[in-house]
Amino acid sequence: MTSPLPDHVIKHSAELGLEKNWSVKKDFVDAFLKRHLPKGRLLKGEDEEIQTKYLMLDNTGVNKVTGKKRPRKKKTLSTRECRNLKIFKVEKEGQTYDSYLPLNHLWLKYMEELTNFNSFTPSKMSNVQQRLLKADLHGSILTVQKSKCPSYVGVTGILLQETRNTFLLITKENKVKYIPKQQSVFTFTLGSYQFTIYGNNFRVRSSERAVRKFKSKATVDF
Amino acid sequence: MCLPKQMGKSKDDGNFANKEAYQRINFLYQAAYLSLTRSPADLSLCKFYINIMKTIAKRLVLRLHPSMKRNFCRRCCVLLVPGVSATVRTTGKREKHTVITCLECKNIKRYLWRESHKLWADHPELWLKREECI
Repeated sequence: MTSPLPDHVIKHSAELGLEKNWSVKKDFVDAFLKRHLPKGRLLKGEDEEIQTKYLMLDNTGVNKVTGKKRPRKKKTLSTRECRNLKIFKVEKEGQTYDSYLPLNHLWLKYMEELTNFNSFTPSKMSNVQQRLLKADLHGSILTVQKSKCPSYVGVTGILLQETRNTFLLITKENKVKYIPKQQSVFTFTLGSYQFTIYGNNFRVRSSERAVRKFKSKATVDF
Repeated sequence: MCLPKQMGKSKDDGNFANKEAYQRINFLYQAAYLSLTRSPADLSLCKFYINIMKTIAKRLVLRLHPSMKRNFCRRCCVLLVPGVSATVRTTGKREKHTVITCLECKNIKRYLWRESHKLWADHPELWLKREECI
């Protein structure tokens, strides 16, 4: 875009007044500062300092390049993602009853620790019932005692998964069955006692049971 | 396995607040381990039990012991067993640390090797004693 001045112009540059006149500029600044600065500051020699300082009048703000923020990677999965990924879905095929027996033994030990069911006395029953309400049932052997749907009645199995509305049992015939809590009554035994679960009143997520307060509700037989 | 807050009334009865919840957490943790060792191919039950354990602890505001809390993936709730469901590698390009990768969801955990860093649970002298609680 630009080209150097032609030689014949540069030769006569002094006559034409094209030379960079730093000295004139410096003289002007010196004189200006001496006229306008207060005497105290002049004595301190501040005029020399000020001369070297400069202010940008043009393009003062530095434009920050606003880069796009990368969206943070989520650290946990939401419930919907869990459902879509089928994280908690148990495979129905290739499961055997026997392989879940250790889970049942573990549960029995847990119950022993929690309730001492071998040394039950009827006077302690209400206390035990309160504890059992908040206990975990995974691994227990549940039986469907009554149900509105006759094909569910009599199904016995180890409880694998408890959701809000269903129990997932594995039966002795190595079948994995979902059984809805609604409209059915379940039983399980501890020592010499049998406990009954009314499915209609039990429709809570199992983790929520630990926190929730229960109200006694009337049960309607069917 | 977990760390109960010692807030019982008398010293010898062994009762403290939320004892049943702690027992349940303990059971669920063991059940998860059991289902993991039983079938390393199908981890759904392991995830399910850990998830319940996490929600119980969350709802009742209980602290899990770090050894427990660090032992499952916070994203997909799988128990992290090296060689089965996780890999453990040490790297040190910037600062030496251990990387634990969950093989299920490829989520990673990093633990720095800082000597100055010490867990609260490793300082027994900081714990509240029973007498101080009352």
